[in-house]
Amino acid sequence: MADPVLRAAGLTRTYRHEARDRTALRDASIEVGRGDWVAVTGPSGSGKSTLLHLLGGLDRPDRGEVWLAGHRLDNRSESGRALLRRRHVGFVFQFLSLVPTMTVLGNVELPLVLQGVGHRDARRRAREVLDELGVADTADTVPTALSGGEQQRVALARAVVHRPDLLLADEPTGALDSTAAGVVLDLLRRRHADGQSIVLVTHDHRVAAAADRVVTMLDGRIADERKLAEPAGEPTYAHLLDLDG
Amino acid sequence: MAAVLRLVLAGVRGGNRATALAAVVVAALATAGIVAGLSVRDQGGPRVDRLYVEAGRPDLVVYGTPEALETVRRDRALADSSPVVRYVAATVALHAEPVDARVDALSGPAATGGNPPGRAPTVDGPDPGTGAGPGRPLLRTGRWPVPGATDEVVFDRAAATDAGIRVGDRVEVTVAGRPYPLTVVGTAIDLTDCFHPDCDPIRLFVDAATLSRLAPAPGDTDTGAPTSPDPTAGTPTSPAPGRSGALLVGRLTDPADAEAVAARLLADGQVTGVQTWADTRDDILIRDRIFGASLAGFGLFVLVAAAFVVAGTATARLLVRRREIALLASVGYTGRQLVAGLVGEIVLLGTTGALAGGIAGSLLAPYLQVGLTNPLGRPAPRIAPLTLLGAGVLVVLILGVATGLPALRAARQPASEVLRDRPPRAVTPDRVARLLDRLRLGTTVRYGIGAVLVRPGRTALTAGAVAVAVAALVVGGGFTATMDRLVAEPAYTGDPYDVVVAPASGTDPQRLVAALSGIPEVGGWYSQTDRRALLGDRTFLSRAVGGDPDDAGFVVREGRPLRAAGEALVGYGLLHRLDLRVGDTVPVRVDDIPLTLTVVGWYSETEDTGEVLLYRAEQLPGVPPDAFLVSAQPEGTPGALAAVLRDRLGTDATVRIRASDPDELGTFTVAVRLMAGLLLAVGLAHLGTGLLSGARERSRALGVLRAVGFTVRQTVGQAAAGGAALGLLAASVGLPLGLVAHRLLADRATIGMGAGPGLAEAPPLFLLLGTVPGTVLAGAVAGALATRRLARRAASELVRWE
Repeated sequence: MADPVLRAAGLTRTYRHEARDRTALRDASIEVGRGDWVAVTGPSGSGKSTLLHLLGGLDRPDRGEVWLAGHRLDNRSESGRALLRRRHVGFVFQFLSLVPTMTVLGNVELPLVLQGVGHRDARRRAREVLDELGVADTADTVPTALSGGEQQRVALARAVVHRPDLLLADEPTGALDSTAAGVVLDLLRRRHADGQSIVLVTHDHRVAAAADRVVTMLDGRIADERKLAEPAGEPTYAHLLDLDG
Repeated sequence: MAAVLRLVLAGVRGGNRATALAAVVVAALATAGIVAGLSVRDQGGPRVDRLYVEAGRPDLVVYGTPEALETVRRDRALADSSPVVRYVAATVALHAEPVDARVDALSGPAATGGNPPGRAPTVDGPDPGTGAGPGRPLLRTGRWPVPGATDEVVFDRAAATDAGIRVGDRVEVTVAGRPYPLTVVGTAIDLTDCFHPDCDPIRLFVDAATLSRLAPAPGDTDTGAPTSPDPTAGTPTSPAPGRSGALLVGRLTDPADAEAVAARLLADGQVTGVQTWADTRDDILIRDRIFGASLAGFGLFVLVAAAFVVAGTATARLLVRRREIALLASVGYTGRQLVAGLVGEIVLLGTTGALAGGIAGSLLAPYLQVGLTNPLGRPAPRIAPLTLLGAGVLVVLILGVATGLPALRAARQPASEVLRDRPPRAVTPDRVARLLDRLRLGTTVRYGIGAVLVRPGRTALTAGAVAVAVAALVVGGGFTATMDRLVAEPAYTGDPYDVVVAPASGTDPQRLVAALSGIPEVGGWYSQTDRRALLGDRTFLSRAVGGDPDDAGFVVREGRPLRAAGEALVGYGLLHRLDLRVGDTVPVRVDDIPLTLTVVGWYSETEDTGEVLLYRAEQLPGVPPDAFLVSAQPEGTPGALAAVLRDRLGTDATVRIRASDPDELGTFTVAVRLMAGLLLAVGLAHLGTGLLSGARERSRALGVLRAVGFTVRQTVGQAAAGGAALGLLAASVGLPLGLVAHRLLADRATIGMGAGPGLAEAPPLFLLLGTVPGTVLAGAVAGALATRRLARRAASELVRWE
């Protein structure tokens, strides 16, 4: 793979809890090229989220390396990783992805403000993305006033507003009903179609089926990795539902 | 009930130990403050009343000639009386400064040397052996002088304690300029006046043989004229050294008639002064009352702070336990049972704290009885069950109420939402979030402030606790400044002078006037003569003021200073007692002379709790001044002035520097500062725990921010910004609140002292200017410290935070 946006090799992460060690991730390696969409699946506790967090620099591996957009991530301090993250990564979580004390607009423009983009430009760009994702009318409300689906769309807007090299999504549809989940997944596919690299954690096979490549995890190890066939035509969530059926 | 009890015990056992400990500690502090304050305020009275009984119920102390006093002994209003006691005025050095003393004969034939024939050939004092008669001094250490001994003295107990004089010490008693060394053989309490240093002269007790030795030589004696009929509380004008007099202590058939009997005796013109036990008792207890009330007031401050702390802690605690509460609801606990259990938990913790605090307050109280420790000794700790119960119930009740609302909210939360791990709803009105967005504060500050505003209830509680602490600090600072001012500027307590010059017996006052006028170190002087005055059936201290009216620098609070005969200035206590107004005319009798005086103003005076009437000395023609009150030049010092006066006046007068800050005032201000500091510590600790629990609660949001790109420094910075905002809010409320509370409390204290309202001194400027930035800084530091550990955790841990 030429010029991968993300390359991780031999990642191992052990957590210590009440004097007992639990290895959540063992010797995991993965590469994500520009424009790739990788789905990470597996049962609960298989290490999916741990892997995602290591890839995004939210945590540091005990062993192994992570390279993001040509920068080594794993040997940096917490703040050093934050500085890389704010430029190169966008995150979406399963729920509570938004800062509750900020308006929707404030949330979305946050990555731009942190990068030092001027207030006016940040606001304009945030409104554009909100409009693009169909939630422009919520700009001046607070996240708690939104439905779960709206919140995830706003979270997605915030994750892509600064055009990151990599979008990391941890169960972005996990807390949504099927309709809302379909809308979010459609949006992800559109971003992917525009060239956005995505790593998405899910235990939902229907969602995983939207990706180019599926990595399956089991007991902290990457148990399987395979490419999926390109679906024909414009992807929709309904199409995925059909796949499942 | 069993189910509720089980819930209570489970909460106490399984809850967060730090928050449980906080509830116990704040309840203990509040109860300790209240119990100590009430004990100090209330326990002094019974102690003094026990002394009153032990001393044979001295309802009246009457001064006059021995013959007149013998007549008074037969007055039908008196159920019993002491023998007529002869005394001589003297000075004794305490802390290297002369202090006025009254030397009383205890028993046996009095000296005839100082008495003109026919006046009082023999005067018996109270028999210390049998302890008969009202007003007998109460021996506390040592023994009484051996009959016939000429060099033994029983010393005033309060003065002895103050000066460190012990049985066996030698003291020098100076009478008419002649020193007499005496051996202290005991210490005793005397109830004919209040105690040193609040009242002088101090009282010494000697055998009649000793008094004969001390009494002035023939020709330099008291003529029987009322030189100083009433050596009342705190007056600088006790009898001129060398002069002798007599007094009688009476027990009344009906003690309630004391004021009327005193008025009648004065009106008859036979006696020269009368002091009632009620006045003496008030003078003895005033300091403890004010101090006790202040302590109890601070205890209430702590209680209010405690209510904020407990409510805030309970809110945070219940938020953490919301899932547990929902589970309890799912197994069948009703909302009422849940509320009862949650409130019961705090009540149990509060009761534990209240009990511990009550005992601590009771143990502490004896050390805080500032006015009575010297004369009466430190009392044994005593637990007053009713006080303890009342304070405990109050504290527990307030803590229960403070927990009630959060408990109600916790019990009402929809269990299904909680069990589905739906996060608690934050309250951030859109307009607040929009406003913050528009303010363009910078991301770190913006988020920090937003985090504070996300839970307005808890923010108010946390800020409230800090605001109360800030208010207490302001009150403490202001109170101390007010007390310092009263000490530094004695004109505010009715003592606008530096040095007292008491003419020796036989000294021509005009000679002293001439001498004072010729001493360049003298900045000004006035004279005063104290007498009991009579208005209807009420008696009070009156003071004839001579010299240049402009030199009598009393602090006139309303109206104008005395300028001419026929005018009167009254202390606030008298103004209040007689319901006088500036412009009123009062007909009084002084030394059987009727005076009609127009009240031209009222002034600050603490002597006799402000029940003092001033008028011009010209209205008592022929009566020599008791003392000259002399002020130093602006560049001079009292010490230097006293030295010059002693040098220039020689044996013509006794010179002493005005007594300044008694040690008790130091104890008082230290205690007030301690309480304020304690409150501040409680407030800041609560601020820290509030910010910590808030940060923990927002851990996931912090994780999200970190995922977006917040650095560790920004994470700490936002917490500092939130803490600073809380500090700003608290200071903005606490500062004006403290100023108002200080004004009210200080007024209450100065009115209690008799000086009147409006003497509250503003807290020090550095405190006023530093309060807001200091509190903001403290909030920022507390916020940063509270989040520091959280900020160092991996972002992945935060986003997974439950």
